[in-house]
Amino acid sequence: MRRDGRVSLRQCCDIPDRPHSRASLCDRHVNPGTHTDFLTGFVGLMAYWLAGELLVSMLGIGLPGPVAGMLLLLGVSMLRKRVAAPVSHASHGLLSHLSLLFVPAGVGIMSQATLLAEHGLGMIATLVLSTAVTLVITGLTLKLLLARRKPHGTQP
Amino acid sequence: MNALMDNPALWLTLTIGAYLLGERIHQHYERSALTHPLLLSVAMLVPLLLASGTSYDKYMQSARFIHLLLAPATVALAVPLFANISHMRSMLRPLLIALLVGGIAGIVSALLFGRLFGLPHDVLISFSPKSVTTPIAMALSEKLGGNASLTAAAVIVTGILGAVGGEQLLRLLGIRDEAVQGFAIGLASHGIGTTRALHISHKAGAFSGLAMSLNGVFTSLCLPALLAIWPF
Repeated sequence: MRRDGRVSLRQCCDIPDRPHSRASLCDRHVNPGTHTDFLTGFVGLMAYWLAGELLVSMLGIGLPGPVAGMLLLLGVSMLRKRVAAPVSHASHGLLSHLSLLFVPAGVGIMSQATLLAEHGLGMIATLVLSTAVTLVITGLTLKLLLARRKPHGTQP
Repeated sequence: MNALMDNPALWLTLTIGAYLLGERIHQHYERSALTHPLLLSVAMLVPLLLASGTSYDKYMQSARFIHLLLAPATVALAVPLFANISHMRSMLRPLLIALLVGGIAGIVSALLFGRLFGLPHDVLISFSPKSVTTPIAMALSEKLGGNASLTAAAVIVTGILGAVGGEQLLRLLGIRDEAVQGFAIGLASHGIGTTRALHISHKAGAFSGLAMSLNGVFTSLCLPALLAIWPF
Protein backbone atom coordinates (compact mmCIF):
# COMPACT_ATOMS: atom_id res chain seq x y z
CA MET A 1 0.00 0.00 0.00
CA ARG A 2 1.27 3.44 -0.84
CA ARG A 3 1.51 6.20 1.75
CA ASP A 4 -1.23 8.26 0.07
CA GLY A 5 -3.70 5.52 0.87
CA ARG A 6 -4.19 4.39 -2.70
CA VAL A 7 -3.80 0.74 -3.50
CA SER A 8 -1.54 -0.81 -6.09
CA LEU A 9 -2.70 -2.99 -8.96
CA ARG A 10 -1.28 -6.04 -7.21
CA GLN A 11 -4.04 -5.64 -4.65
CA CYS A 12 -6.71 -6.08 -7.30
CA CYS A 13 -7.79 -9.47 -6.04
CA ASP A 14 -8.45 -11.40 -2.87
CA ILE A 15 -5.43 -13.63 -3.13
CA PRO A 16 -4.02 -14.31 0.29
CA ASP A 17 -0.43 -13.74 1.27
CA ARG A 18 1.18 -11.98 -1.65
CA PRO A 19 4.85 -11.17 -1.13
CA HIS A 20 4.30 -7.59 0.03
CA SER A 21 1.91 -8.57 2.84
CA ARG A 22 5.00 -9.60 4.79
CA ALA A 23 6.61 -6.25 4.02
CA SER A 24 3.60 -4.37 5.41
CA LEU A 25 3.87 -6.43 8.58
CA CYS A 26 7.43 -5.15 8.97
CA ASP A 27 6.19 -1.59 8.38
CA ARG A 28 3.99 -1.93 11.41
CA HIS A 29 6.98 -2.81 13.57
CA VAL A 30 8.92 0.16 12.27
CA ASN A 31 6.12 2.64 12.71
CA PRO A 32 4.10 2.16 15.92
CA GLY A 33 1.56 4.77 14.74
CA THR A 34 0.07 2.29 12.28
CA HIS A 35 -1.16 0.08 15.15
CA THR A 36 -3.86 2.63 15.91
CA ASP A 37 -4.27 3.06 12.15
CA PHE A 38 -5.38 -0.55 11.83
CA LEU A 39 -7.96 -0.19 14.60
CA THR A 40 -9.24 3.09 13.16
CA GLY A 41 -9.58 1.50 9.74
CA PHE A 42 -11.23 -1.60 11.21
CA VAL A 43 -13.79 0.49 13.06
CA GLY A 44 -14.36 2.38 9.80
CA LEU A 45 -15.16 -0.89 8.01
CA MET A 46 -17.50 -1.92 10.84
CA ALA A 47 -19.26 1.45 10.59
CA TYR A 48 -19.83 0.91 6.85
CA TRP A 49 -21.15 -2.57 7.62
CA LEU A 50 -23.60 -1.10 10.17
CA ALA A 51 -24.64 1.65 7.76
CA GLY A 52 -25.17 -1.04 5.11
CA GLU A 53 -27.40 -3.10 7.43
CA LEU A 54 -29.37 0.03 8.31
CA LEU A 55 -29.84 0.99 4.65
CA VAL A 56 -30.96 -2.52 3.69
CA SER A 57 -33.52 -2.76 6.49
CA MET A 58 -34.83 0.74 5.74
CA LEU A 59 -35.23 0.01 2.03
CA GLY A 60 -36.42 -3.55 2.65
CA ILE A 61 -34.27 -4.97 -0.18
CA GLY A 62 -32.70 -8.44 -0.51
CA LEU A 63 -29.12 -7.14 -0.55
CA PRO A 64 -26.86 -8.49 2.26
CA GLY A 65 -25.84 -5.75 4.73
CA PRO A 66 -22.05 -6.21 4.29
CA VAL A 67 -22.44 -5.92 0.49
CA ALA A 68 -24.46 -2.72 0.93
CA GLY A 69 -21.65 -1.49 3.20
CA MET A 70 -19.13 -2.27 0.45
CA LEU A 71 -21.19 -0.28 -2.07
CA LEU A 72 -21.39 2.65 0.36
CA LEU A 73 -17.62 2.63 0.88
CA LEU A 74 -17.10 2.41 -2.89
CA GLY A 75 -19.50 5.32 -3.48
CA VAL A 76 -17.84 7.51 -0.83
CA SER A 77 -14.36 6.65 -2.19
CA MET A 78 -15.41 7.55 -5.73
CA LEU A 79 -16.83 10.89 -4.57
CA ARG A 80 -13.69 11.71 -2.57
CA LYS A 81 -11.51 10.18 -5.32
CA ARG A 82 -9.46 8.30 -2.70
CA VAL A 83 -9.70 5.73 0.09
CA ALA A 84 -8.79 6.91 3.59
CA ALA A 85 -5.37 5.49 4.52
CA PRO A 86 -6.48 3.66 7.72
CA VAL A 87 -9.38 1.99 5.89
CA SER A 88 -7.05 0.96 3.10
CA HIS A 89 -4.59 -0.40 5.67
CA ALA A 90 -7.23 -2.41 7.56
CA SER A 91 -8.72 -3.70 4.30
CA HIS A 92 -5.39 -5.01 3.19
CA GLY A 93 -4.91 -6.74 6.54
CA LEU A 94 -8.31 -8.45 6.33
CA LEU A 95 -8.06 -9.37 2.65
CA SER A 96 -4.53 -10.79 2.81
CA HIS A 97 -5.85 -13.89 4.59
CA LEU A 98 -9.38 -13.87 3.26
CA SER A 99 -9.43 -17.63 2.62
CA LEU A 100 -9.05 -18.31 6.36
CA LEU A 101 -12.39 -16.59 6.97
CA PHE A 102 -14.21 -19.13 4.73
CA VAL A 103 -12.87 -22.17 6.58
CA PRO A 104 -15.63 -22.33 9.26
CA ALA A 105 -18.34 -22.21 6.56
CA GLY A 106 -16.37 -24.61 4.36
CA VAL A 107 -16.24 -27.19 7.16
CA GLY A 108 -20.06 -27.08 7.12
CA ILE A 109 -19.96 -29.30 4.05
CA MET A 110 -19.59 -32.19 6.57
CA SER A 111 -23.26 -31.89 7.48
CA GLN A 112 -24.27 -32.22 3.79
CA ALA A 113 -23.05 -35.82 3.36
CA THR A 114 -26.47 -37.26 2.36
CA LEU A 115 -27.08 -34.48 -0.14
CA LEU A 116 -23.62 -34.99 -1.67
CA ALA A 117 -24.13 -38.76 -1.91
CA GLU A 118 -27.44 -38.28 -3.70
CA HIS A 119 -26.71 -35.28 -5.93
CA GLY A 120 -22.89 -35.04 -6.02
CA LEU A 121 -22.55 -35.94 -9.72
CA GLY A 122 -25.31 -33.56 -10.77
CA MET A 123 -23.70 -30.80 -8.73
CA ILE A 124 -20.29 -31.28 -10.36
CA ALA A 125 -21.87 -31.46 -13.83
CA THR A 126 -23.83 -28.26 -13.15
CA LEU A 127 -20.71 -26.40 -12.00
CA VAL A 128 -18.54 -27.62 -14.91
CA LEU A 129 -21.09 -26.71 -17.60
CA SER A 130 -22.15 -23.43 -16.00
CA THR A 131 -18.54 -22.27 -15.55
CA ALA A 132 -17.74 -23.15 -19.19
CA VAL A 133 -20.83 -21.31 -20.48
CA THR A 134 -20.03 -18.23 -18.37
CA LEU A 135 -16.42 -18.13 -19.61
CA VAL A 136 -17.42 -18.56 -23.26
CA ILE A 137 -20.27 -16.03 -23.28
CA THR A 138 -18.23 -13.39 -21.41
CA GLY A 139 -15.14 -13.92 -23.58
CA LEU A 140 -17.01 -13.81 -26.89
CA THR A 141 -19.08 -10.75 -25.89
CA LEU A 142 -16.04 -8.72 -24.86
CA LYS A 143 -14.03 -9.84 -27.91
CA LEU A 144 -16.87 -8.72 -30.19
CA LEU A 145 -17.29 -5.35 -28.43
CA LEU A 146 -13.56 -4.58 -28.52
CA ALA A 147 -13.29 -5.59 -32.19
CA ARG A 148 -16.07 -3.10 -33.01
CA ARG A 149 -14.27 -0.36 -31.09
CA LYS A 150 -10.83 -0.76 -32.71
CA PRO A 151 -11.64 0.81 -36.16
CA HIS A 152 -12.54 4.05 -34.38
CA GLY A 153 -9.01 4.28 -33.05
CA THR A 154 -9.90 4.02 -29.37
CA GLN A 155 -7.47 2.54 -26.89
CA PRO A 156 -7.79 -1.22 -26.68
CA MET B 1 -8.82 -33.80 27.56
CA ASN B 2 -12.57 -33.33 27.99
CA ALA B 3 -11.99 -29.87 29.44
CA LEU B 4 -10.04 -29.00 26.29
CA MET B 5 -12.86 -30.20 24.03
CA ASP B 6 -15.17 -27.57 25.49
CA ASN B 7 -12.65 -24.76 25.23
CA PRO B 8 -13.12 -22.46 22.23
CA ALA B 9 -9.32 -22.17 21.98
CA LEU B 10 -9.06 -25.77 20.69
CA TRP B 11 -10.96 -25.46 17.41
CA LEU B 12 -9.88 -21.86 16.85
CA THR B 13 -6.24 -22.94 17.06
CA LEU B 14 -6.81 -26.00 14.89
CA THR B 15 -8.69 -23.95 12.28
CA ILE B 16 -5.96 -21.32 11.95
CA GLY B 17 -3.26 -24.01 12.15
CA ALA B 18 -4.90 -26.06 9.39
CA TYR B 19 -5.21 -22.95 7.24
CA LEU B 20 -1.55 -22.00 7.72
CA LEU B 21 -0.46 -25.57 6.89
CA GLY B 22 -2.71 -25.50 3.81
CA GLU B 23 -1.18 -22.18 2.79
CA ARG B 24 2.34 -23.72 3.10
CA ILE B 25 1.38 -26.68 0.92
CA HIS B 26 -0.30 -24.30 -1.56
CA GLN B 27 2.93 -22.30 -1.83
CA HIS B 28 4.98 -25.47 -2.20
CA TYR B 29 2.91 -26.45 -5.26
CA GLU B 30 3.44 -23.02 -6.87
CA ARG B 31 -0.03 -21.83 -5.83
CA SER B 32 -1.82 -24.35 -8.05
CA ALA B 33 -5.61 -23.94 -7.80
CA LEU B 34 -5.90 -27.66 -7.00
CA THR B 35 -4.13 -27.08 -3.67
CA HIS B 36 -6.28 -24.11 -2.59
CA PRO B 37 -5.75 -23.62 1.18
CA LEU B 38 -9.50 -23.65 1.84
CA LEU B 39 -9.82 -27.05 0.19
CA LEU B 40 -6.86 -28.40 2.16
CA SER B 41 -7.90 -27.00 5.54
CA VAL B 42 -11.45 -28.36 5.20
CA ALA B 43 -9.96 -31.74 4.23
CA MET B 44 -7.83 -31.63 7.41
CA LEU B 45 -10.53 -30.39 9.81
CA VAL B 46 -13.49 -32.58 8.81
CA PRO B 47 -11.74 -35.89 9.66
CA LEU B 48 -10.60 -34.37 12.98
CA LEU B 49 -14.16 -33.32 13.83
CA LEU B 50 -15.58 -36.70 12.83
CA ALA B 51 -12.90 -38.62 14.74
CA SER B 52 -13.48 -36.58 17.91
CA GLY B 53 -17.26 -36.83 17.58
CA THR B 54 -17.62 -33.05 17.46
CA SER B 55 -20.75 -31.79 15.69
CA TYR B 56 -20.63 -28.88 13.25
CA ASP B 57 -22.75 -26.76 15.61
CA LYS B 58 -20.31 -27.42 18.41
CA TYR B 59 -17.37 -26.54 16.13
CA MET B 60 -19.12 -23.35 15.03
CA GLN B 61 -19.43 -22.19 18.65
CA SER B 62 -15.72 -21.44 18.59
CA ALA B 63 -15.15 -20.99 14.84
CA ARG B 64 -17.82 -18.27 14.59
CA PHE B 65 -15.24 -15.77 15.84
CA ILE B 66 -13.42 -16.24 12.53
CA HIS B 67 -16.67 -16.44 10.56
CA LEU B 68 -17.81 -13.06 11.94
CA LEU B 69 -14.85 -11.28 10.32
CA LEU B 70 -16.31 -12.08 6.90
CA ALA B 71 -18.65 -9.08 7.12
CA PRO B 72 -15.97 -6.35 7.52
CA ALA B 73 -13.83 -8.24 4.95
CA THR B 74 -16.71 -7.97 2.47
CA VAL B 75 -16.88 -4.21 3.06
CA ALA B 76 -13.09 -4.12 2.52
CA LEU B 77 -13.53 -5.46 -1.04
CA ALA B 78 -14.50 -1.89 -1.99
CA VAL B 79 -10.81 -0.88 -1.73
CA PRO B 80 -9.41 -3.10 -4.53
CA LEU B 81 -12.57 -2.45 -6.57
CA PHE B 82 -12.01 1.30 -6.33
CA ALA B 83 -8.38 0.88 -7.45
CA ASN B 84 -9.43 -1.30 -10.40
CA ILE B 85 -12.18 1.03 -11.58
CA SER B 86 -9.81 4.01 -11.61
CA HIS B 87 -7.37 2.07 -13.78
CA MET B 88 -9.89 0.93 -16.39
CA ARG B 89 -12.00 4.05 -16.81
CA SER B 90 -11.10 4.48 -20.51
CA MET B 91 -12.71 1.21 -21.58
CA LEU B 92 -15.36 0.85 -18.91
CA ARG B 93 -18.31 0.81 -21.34
CA PRO B 94 -17.54 -2.42 -23.27
CA LEU B 95 -16.47 -4.00 -19.98
CA LEU B 96 -19.78 -3.11 -18.35
CA ILE B 97 -21.77 -4.59 -21.24
CA ALA B 98 -19.69 -7.79 -21.05
CA LEU B 99 -20.32 -7.79 -17.29
CA LEU B 100 -24.07 -7.53 -17.79
CA VAL B 101 -24.17 -10.37 -20.34
CA GLY B 102 -21.63 -12.59 -18.55
CA GLY B 103 -23.01 -11.98 -15.08
CA ILE B 104 -26.51 -13.02 -16.12
CA ALA B 105 -25.10 -16.01 -18.04
CA GLY B 106 -23.34 -17.14 -14.86
CA ILE B 107 -26.52 -17.12 -12.79
CA VAL B 108 -28.96 -18.41 -15.41
CA SER B 109 -26.67 -21.24 -16.59
CA ALA B 110 -26.28 -22.48 -12.99
CA LEU B 111 -30.06 -22.43 -12.48
CA LEU B 112 -30.80 -24.13 -15.82
CA PHE B 113 -28.16 -26.87 -15.62
CA GLY B 114 -28.99 -27.47 -11.96
CA ARG B 115 -32.63 -27.91 -12.91
CA LEU B 116 -31.63 -30.24 -15.78
CA PHE B 117 -29.67 -32.46 -13.37
CA GLY B 118 -32.57 -32.54 -10.88
CA LEU B 119 -30.92 -30.60 -8.04
CA PRO B 120 -33.24 -29.59 -5.16
CA HIS B 121 -34.45 -25.99 -5.04
CA ASP B 122 -32.27 -24.86 -2.10
CA VAL B 123 -29.20 -26.26 -3.90
CA LEU B 124 -30.11 -24.18 -6.96
CA ILE B 125 -30.30 -21.05 -4.78
CA SER B 126 -26.99 -21.94 -3.14
CA PHE B 127 -25.33 -22.45 -6.54
CA SER B 128 -26.71 -19.34 -8.26
CA PRO B 129 -24.00 -16.92 -6.95
CA LYS B 130 -21.20 -19.47 -7.61
CA SER B 131 -19.17 -17.17 -9.92
CA VAL B 132 -18.87 -14.44 -7.29
CA THR B 133 -16.13 -14.05 -4.70
CA THR B 134 -16.84 -16.22 -1.63
CA PRO B 135 -17.85 -13.59 1.00
CA ILE B 136 -20.42 -11.97 -1.30
CA ALA B 137 -21.69 -15.34 -2.55
CA MET B 138 -22.17 -16.66 0.98
CA ALA B 139 -23.94 -13.52 2.16
CA LEU B 140 -26.27 -13.65 -0.85
CA SER B 141 -26.98 -17.35 -0.41
CA GLU B 142 -27.85 -16.96 3.28
CA LYS B 143 -30.06 -13.96 2.58
CA LEU B 144 -31.93 -15.67 -0.29
CA GLY B 145 -32.62 -18.98 1.47
CA GLY B 146 -29.65 -21.06 0.34
CA ASN B 147 -27.02 -22.87 2.38
CA ALA B 148 -23.79 -20.93 2.96
CA SER B 149 -21.63 -24.06 3.26
CA LEU B 150 -22.88 -25.46 -0.06
CA THR B 151 -22.27 -22.06 -1.63
CA ALA B 152 -18.71 -21.92 -0.28
CA ALA B 153 -18.06 -25.36 -1.80
CA ALA B 154 -19.64 -24.42 -5.15
CA VAL B 155 -17.66 -21.17 -5.31
CA ILE B 156 -14.34 -22.91 -4.65
CA VAL B 157 -15.03 -25.66 -7.21
CA THR B 158 -16.06 -23.01 -9.78
CA GLY B 159 -12.87 -21.08 -9.07
CA ILE B 160 -10.70 -24.15 -9.54
CA LEU B 161 -12.49 -25.12 -12.78
CA GLY B 162 -12.00 -21.67 -14.29
CA ALA B 163 -8.40 -21.49 -13.13
CA VAL B 164 -7.47 -24.93 -14.44
CA GLY B 165 -9.39 -24.95 -17.75
CA GLY B 166 -10.35 -21.35 -18.49
CA GLU B 167 -7.37 -20.25 -20.55
CA GLN B 168 -7.41 -23.36 -22.77
CA LEU B 169 -11.16 -23.10 -23.37
CA LEU B 170 -10.87 -19.43 -24.40
CA ARG B 171 -7.89 -20.16 -26.69
CA LEU B 172 -9.91 -22.95 -28.31
CA LEU B 173 -12.46 -20.28 -29.29
CA GLY B 174 -9.74 -18.07 -30.75
CA ILE B 175 -9.70 -15.58 -27.88
CA ARG B 176 -6.04 -14.54 -27.59
CA ASP B 177 -6.36 -11.00 -26.21
CA GLU B 178 -5.01 -11.20 -22.65
CA ALA B 179 -7.42 -8.51 -21.45
CA VAL B 180 -10.40 -10.54 -22.69
CA GLN B 181 -9.02 -13.80 -21.27
CA GLY B 182 -8.45 -12.16 -17.90
CA PHE B 183 -11.86 -10.50 -17.80
CA ALA B 184 -13.71 -13.73 -18.67
CA ILE B 185 -11.74 -15.79 -16.15
CA GLY B 186 -12.23 -13.24 -13.34
CA LEU B 187 -15.94 -12.87 -14.04
CA ALA B 188 -16.56 -16.64 -14.14
CA SER B 189 -14.20 -17.74 -11.37
CA HIS B 190 -13.41 -14.80 -9.05
CA GLY B 191 -10.24 -14.76 -6.90
CA ILE B 192 -9.02 -18.27 -7.67
CA GLY B 193 -9.30 -17.53 -11.39
CA THR B 194 -7.55 -14.20 -10.83
CA THR B 195 -4.57 -15.96 -9.25
CA ARG B 196 -4.30 -18.01 -12.42
CA ALA B 197 -4.80 -14.95 -14.68
CA LEU B 198 -1.85 -13.25 -12.97
CA HIS B 199 0.24 -16.16 -14.31
CA ILE B 200 -0.86 -15.38 -17.90
CA SER B 201 0.30 -11.78 -17.57
CA HIS B 202 -0.01 -8.73 -15.36
CA LYS B 203 -2.57 -7.28 -17.78
CA ALA B 204 -4.72 -10.42 -17.65
CA GLY B 205 -4.51 -10.36 -13.85
CA ALA B 206 -5.63 -6.74 -13.62
CA PHE B 207 -8.64 -7.32 -15.89
CA SER B 208 -9.46 -10.48 -13.97
CA GLY B 209 -9.43 -8.61 -10.65
CA LEU B 210 -11.65 -5.92 -12.11
CA ALA B 211 -14.13 -8.47 -13.52
CA MET B 212 -14.23 -10.27 -10.19
CA SER B 213 -15.06 -7.09 -8.26
CA LEU B 214 -17.59 -5.85 -10.81
CA ASN B 215 -19.38 -9.19 -10.92
CA GLY B 216 -19.56 -9.24 -7.13
CA VAL B 217 -21.44 -5.95 -7.21
CA PHE B 218 -23.54 -6.83 -10.26
CA THR B 219 -24.63 -10.26 -8.98
CA SER B 220 -25.55 -8.96 -5.54
CA LEU B 221 -27.78 -6.31 -7.11
CA CYS B 222 -29.31 -8.52 -9.80
CA LEU B 223 -29.63 -11.95 -8.13
CA PRO B 224 -32.41 -11.07 -5.63
CA ALA B 225 -34.49 -9.55 -8.44
CA LEU B 226 -33.76 -12.39 -10.85
CA LEU B 227 -34.73 -15.09 -8.34
CA ALA B 228 -37.97 -13.21 -7.58
CA ILE B 229 -39.07 -13.51 -11.23
CA TRP B 230 -37.45 -16.91 -11.93
CA PRO B 231 -40.26 -19.18 -13.23
CA PHE B 232 -38.95 -22.61 -12.09
